[in-house]
Amino acid sequence: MIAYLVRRILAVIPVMGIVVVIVFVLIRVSPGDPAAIIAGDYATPEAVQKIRVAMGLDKPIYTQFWIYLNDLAHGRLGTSLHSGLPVIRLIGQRAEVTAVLAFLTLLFSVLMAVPLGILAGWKRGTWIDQSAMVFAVVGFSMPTFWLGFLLIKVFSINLHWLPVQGYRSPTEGLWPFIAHLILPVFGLAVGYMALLARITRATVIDVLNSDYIRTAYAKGATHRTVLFIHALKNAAVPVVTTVGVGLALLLSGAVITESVFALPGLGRLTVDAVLQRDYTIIQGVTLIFSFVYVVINLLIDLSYTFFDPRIRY
Amino acid sequence: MYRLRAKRFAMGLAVLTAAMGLLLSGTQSVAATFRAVPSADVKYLDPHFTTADITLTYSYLVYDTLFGLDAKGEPQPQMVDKYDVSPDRLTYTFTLRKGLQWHDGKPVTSKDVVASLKRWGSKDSAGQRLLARTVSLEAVNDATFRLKLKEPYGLVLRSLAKPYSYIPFILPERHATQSADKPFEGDPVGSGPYTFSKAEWVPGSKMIFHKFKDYVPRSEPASGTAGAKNVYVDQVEWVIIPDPATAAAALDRGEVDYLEVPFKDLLDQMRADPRMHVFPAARYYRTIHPNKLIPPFDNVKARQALAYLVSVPDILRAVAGDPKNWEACYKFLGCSGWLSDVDEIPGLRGQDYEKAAQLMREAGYKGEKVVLMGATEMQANYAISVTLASQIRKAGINVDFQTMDWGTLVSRRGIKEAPGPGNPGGWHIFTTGAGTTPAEDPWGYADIQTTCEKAWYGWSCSPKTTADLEQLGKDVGTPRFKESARRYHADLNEYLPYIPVGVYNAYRVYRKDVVSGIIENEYSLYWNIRKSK
Repeated sequence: MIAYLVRRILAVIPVMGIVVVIVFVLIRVSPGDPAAIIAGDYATPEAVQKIRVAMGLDKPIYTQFWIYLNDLAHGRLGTSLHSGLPVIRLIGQRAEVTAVLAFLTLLFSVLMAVPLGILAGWKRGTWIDQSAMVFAVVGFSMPTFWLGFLLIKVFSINLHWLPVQGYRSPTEGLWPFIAHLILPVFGLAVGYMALLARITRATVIDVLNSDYIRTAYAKGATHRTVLFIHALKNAAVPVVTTVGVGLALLLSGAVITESVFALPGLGRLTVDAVLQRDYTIIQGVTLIFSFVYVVINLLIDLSYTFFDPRIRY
Repeated sequence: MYRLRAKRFAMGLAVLTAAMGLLLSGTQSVAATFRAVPSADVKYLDPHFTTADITLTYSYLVYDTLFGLDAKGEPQPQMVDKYDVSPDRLTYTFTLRKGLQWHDGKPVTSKDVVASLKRWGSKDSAGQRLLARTVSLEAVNDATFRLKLKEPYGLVLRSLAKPYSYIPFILPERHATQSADKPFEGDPVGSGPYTFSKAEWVPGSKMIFHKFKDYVPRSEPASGTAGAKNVYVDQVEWVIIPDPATAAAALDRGEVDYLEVPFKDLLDQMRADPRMHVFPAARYYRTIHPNKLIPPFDNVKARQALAYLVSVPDILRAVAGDPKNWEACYKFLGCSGWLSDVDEIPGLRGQDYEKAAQLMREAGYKGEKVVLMGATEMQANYAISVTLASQIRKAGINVDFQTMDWGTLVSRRGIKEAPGPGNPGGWHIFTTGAGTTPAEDPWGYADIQTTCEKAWYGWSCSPKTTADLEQLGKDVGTPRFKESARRYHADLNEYLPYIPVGVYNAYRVYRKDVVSGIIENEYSLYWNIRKSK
């Protein structure tokens, strides 16, 4: 187990190295010139060229890469080409929002969708199962932005219950913090809940059809014992995989929700950076996301040993 | 013992209730905070570094100018108290107002002014023209500076009042002596009506400006960028809301007070709401730019064909919908400004595909692909490009309409060579636009310059037009001006650096039930505003 852990941690180094190279090269071969965007629409080509030189964007790509590597080796992610602020500070400002949004969405989704999926799988073919699957199909089909606007229309504009947009840190008060997150979390969670409920249902049905479950029934176990003692733990592996991958996706994929509810998260930072060709931010955010992905994958793999004793590393 | 426990319990409960109350209610916001949703997020805090409109708007809060342009378009003293022009119009002596000071408490001096004007003049076309005619620009004492010219120049005050592109904002000398090719180093310190704290700035989310309590406004009423800059709110908060529908909902709920770019589809709904005031603050010209270095548009006949094939009303309808939102205009430099008493562009009024096709043939066009670039996320730009592509096609031109994001377009438009297998980034046409103030000022408007290699994208090259523009600048304020303006326009109509396709209104909206005093200006100005609750 420890040897496996060490191997996996060491494997992070080449993965991150490959990410650094690919991201650096890809964004520079993509069309777009930060200097032209920085200069503004009325600037002459001469003014744009001066900015390009001043920012070192006229240097050969390998020189720029060397400078970047040197910065990384010293623990620096660089400064934004546009605002001039340190990338680490920009990421730090946004990380709280995205982390809170992703965590609460995940928590809410798991608490709602896993029991729903279990119930649907257990009561397969009944009205409970059918209702749950209708919810899953509807939830999965609803575009996030459309649901977001619908929630704003109903709960903010018509009922005046919740704010339309923005984020409040917990230090600004518990209720403002919660109130600003209810709609975004629900809007983001619906699609994810649908996915999780379907996977949980399918897994539970699959497990309930296993030979060992039939054996348990033959030995006189009750429905409740079969479900909670024998079935659920074995059904957990695919569900945990989905939850883990879902967390990684939520971290980076909340951009639509962040835009609709004007939440200053990492998703919006990334999209703005791509549109503005802010190379240093794109590099920094991608590096951080890649690292988080690797760590989450490692944790998922390790969790398998808890749910399924047959898995050994 | 029991009583003591009960008392402790009651006290504990009271403290807990108070703490919960505080926790649940949150921190109270500042009473007089004016919240606005700006058109974009500020990226750069140096007004001489970029021409981005949002940096300009930011700079008007934090910095000040020597002159402002009033609502009638006339330059008026702002930081300047009085000025004197010698009889030969070669020497200008300016005296600064008393009480001007930087946000760090130090006084504004003429050394700051001289350094700022030199820095601005290194970037801005109007500044470059002014400095090219300058013999000397120097501080006489802390409050006085002097400008000596080689020859009389009618645009001195107008240049110093310039309200767009690079604006001659006055910076502290320590910032103004740094190169304008990079943002200055150090935290921004202005002398304008608001201070800006970099520490509170969350890029992409919010910017907070605090009232500068030591700012001394002028006594004249506010007008355009001139007059008194009175501040009646404690702070201005810019809230970045990327989605216009969310911004409209936030305005409806009172979470914000002002939208700089309201959602076009919701304008009628907002007009019908008695709490809202919708006003046309800005007018934007749209323009079609051909690459004049490569065939077919290196030939003026091909550019004339563009004028013949476009339908200005159709394009404006695509951009702004209802005709009450736009005005077809068939002249360079607009139809309502001080340079509008001139001839229309031949062929632009009235669409004629056959004539356009004939002109293209005369230009040597034989059906080669014509690359038109359009930016999908820029609503007006994309609407024009789509309409234009259809009109070009109907004139028998083989158009290759390429869509991309604005970041790609602004990088590709710098490519001079013709598109082809070895140069996939090349282009023939793109569309853009500008507000009325820049688009009606031929000395400052980059797009209209005809200075060949030094000209804006599309590289217009007409030495005669350039010379006549210089002459027009000299003739400002003289009896020769009108004739000079006609001559310059005749040059433009003959050369066709670009094709202007009219002007449309850009609206803004605010909550009139809580806010008053907003100056309805082309760029948002944040002084004079009162908030009632």
